[in-house]
Amino acid sequence: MFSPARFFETGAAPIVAPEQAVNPQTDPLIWFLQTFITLFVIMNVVLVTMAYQTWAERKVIARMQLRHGPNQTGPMGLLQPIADAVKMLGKEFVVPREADKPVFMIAPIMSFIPAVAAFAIIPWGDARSEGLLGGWIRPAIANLNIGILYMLALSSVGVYGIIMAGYSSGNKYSMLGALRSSGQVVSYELTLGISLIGVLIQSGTLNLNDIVRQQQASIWFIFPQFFGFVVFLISGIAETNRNPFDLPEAESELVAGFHLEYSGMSFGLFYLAEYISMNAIAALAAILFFGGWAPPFDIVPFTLIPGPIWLFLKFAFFLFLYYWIRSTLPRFRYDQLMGLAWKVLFPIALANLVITAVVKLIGVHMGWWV
Amino acid sequence: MVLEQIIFLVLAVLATVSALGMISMKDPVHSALLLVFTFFNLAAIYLVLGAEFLAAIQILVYAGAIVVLFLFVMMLLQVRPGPSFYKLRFFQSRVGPVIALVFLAEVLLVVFASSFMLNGGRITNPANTQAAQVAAAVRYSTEAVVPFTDANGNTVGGTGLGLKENVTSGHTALLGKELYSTFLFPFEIASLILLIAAIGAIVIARRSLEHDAGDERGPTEVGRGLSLAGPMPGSPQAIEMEELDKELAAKNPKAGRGEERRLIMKK
Repeated sequence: MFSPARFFETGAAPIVAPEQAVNPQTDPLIWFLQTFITLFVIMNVVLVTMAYQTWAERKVIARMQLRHGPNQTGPMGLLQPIADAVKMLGKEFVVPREADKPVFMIAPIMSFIPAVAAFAIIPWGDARSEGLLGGWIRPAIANLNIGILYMLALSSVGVYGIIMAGYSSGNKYSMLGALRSSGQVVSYELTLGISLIGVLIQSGTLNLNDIVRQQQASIWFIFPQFFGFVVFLISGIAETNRNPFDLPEAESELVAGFHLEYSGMSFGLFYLAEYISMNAIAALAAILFFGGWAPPFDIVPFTLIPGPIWLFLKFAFFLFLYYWIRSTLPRFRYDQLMGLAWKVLFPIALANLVITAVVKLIGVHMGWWV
Repeated sequence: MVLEQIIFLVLAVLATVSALGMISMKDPVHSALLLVFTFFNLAAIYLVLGAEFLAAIQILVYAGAIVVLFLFVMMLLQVRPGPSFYKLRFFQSRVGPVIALVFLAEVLLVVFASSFMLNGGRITNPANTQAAQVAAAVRYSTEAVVPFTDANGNTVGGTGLGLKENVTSGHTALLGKELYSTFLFPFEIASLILLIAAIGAIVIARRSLEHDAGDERGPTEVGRGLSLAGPMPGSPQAIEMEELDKELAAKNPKAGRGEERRLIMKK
């Protein structure tokens, strides 16, 4: 007799007795101090990575176009990001007369915060271990059990900065850029989410650290979830408004898009947000499909290299892929962009989801895996 | 406990103030943005209560999808600030607040009368389901509830604020299990309702698209906005337009269709 309740119950995990946590920190004061130090370190790493990523991008693209790229400021142009930041901070912040002032001021912040907040849950080492300096720098700021949902929620909130900027600028080009962007982000968010559900079904958890541990125990999820990975990568590029999906800021049609009226550091915040959310997507791809901090093989030469370096190498590979795509492909037309999301990526992601679920269910029933 | 209460009070005040701002703003875009702010505060309250899944879904669905669509439509149709509250129609400005107050009183009555009395001051009855039991054990224990590992090697449990160790709580797996076993029937009904709504949306969108394609008089680009499209067939405006068409055709039968259109527009 088929009983839906029992059918679904078989695959669910049984609840076993609690085991002692690795790092129980009972003093709230020490806990808060640890959190602040971890936050300080990770924020600095994120922002410095972002600054030097712009340098790396310019260098890589220059090489691909047979140029030299920035090479005047400091050795190999290494001081260029700092010079750019100083220049940006020194510029005047102009509010247009037609602007909706409060919304205009908040928009860059609304764009920046979700991008940075995504790094709160990226585990750069085994989040169940103690971390560096006896627990003073934790392997992840927060090891959330709803990690994937948190990332999706942040990526869906990121569009507000763009919408608010476009609406409040009192400028037609800004408005058109924002309209395009909201359509694009809403469409690609859907394919991004559905492509992740395959990973979720396979690992049975939303916790990023547990997903990495499971990949360490079996294989990288790029192999069983290849189509999910492809959809994720394309949607990730579109979600962060990078080439070839940078229609919200297509300069040949829209002057500059939604941030046309922004100047100085308010423009700088949009710029930062774009690059940081690109970093977050790259880190997420490394964690969900390429085993995160886990070495590719659990044998000696690989295990000697610590987890954060593995994560950084995989992350750098994805960044290189971004630059590569940017310097190779021309921009999409708007109808092609929407057609790609709804007619190609969406069905692929949905088929991947259904097939993964069916295979998992059959496997559980046949006893191939628990 | 005191810390939790302070956090709750701050969030509750912010949520209420932004909700009031949402209904009193003139510019609908400001209203929508304040609504988003309310949703964020509600999500944070869910987090304080240990319901992380609900908090994430709150942001993902309401802030991330629904209000974005609101704003999208508002920007597409170029909605302008509306009239002041007292210039609204009688029903909206006088009867509306009364209904709202009655509703508020009802909600307060239900909350205070039933839940608080029956469950000894707690809002939920934690004896209902296994998931709720685990959640309550995590929630109301004074000890550090350690997260434990199930057969798949996944982390389950932990304290609400994550004060005691590196793992914070989340019972998504338990929630899903309950949803697909105990509450399967209500879940299926909800899915069916959503499916019907989706089909309805597609039907309505398709009809207007077909109408656009069949309208030879005007441009048929989708992006031209609602104002340029002709009236829906069968609507009073369409009937009126047909009558005008006939009238004009009787008056000067030589004029082409473009001429007629211009004359109708003038009228």
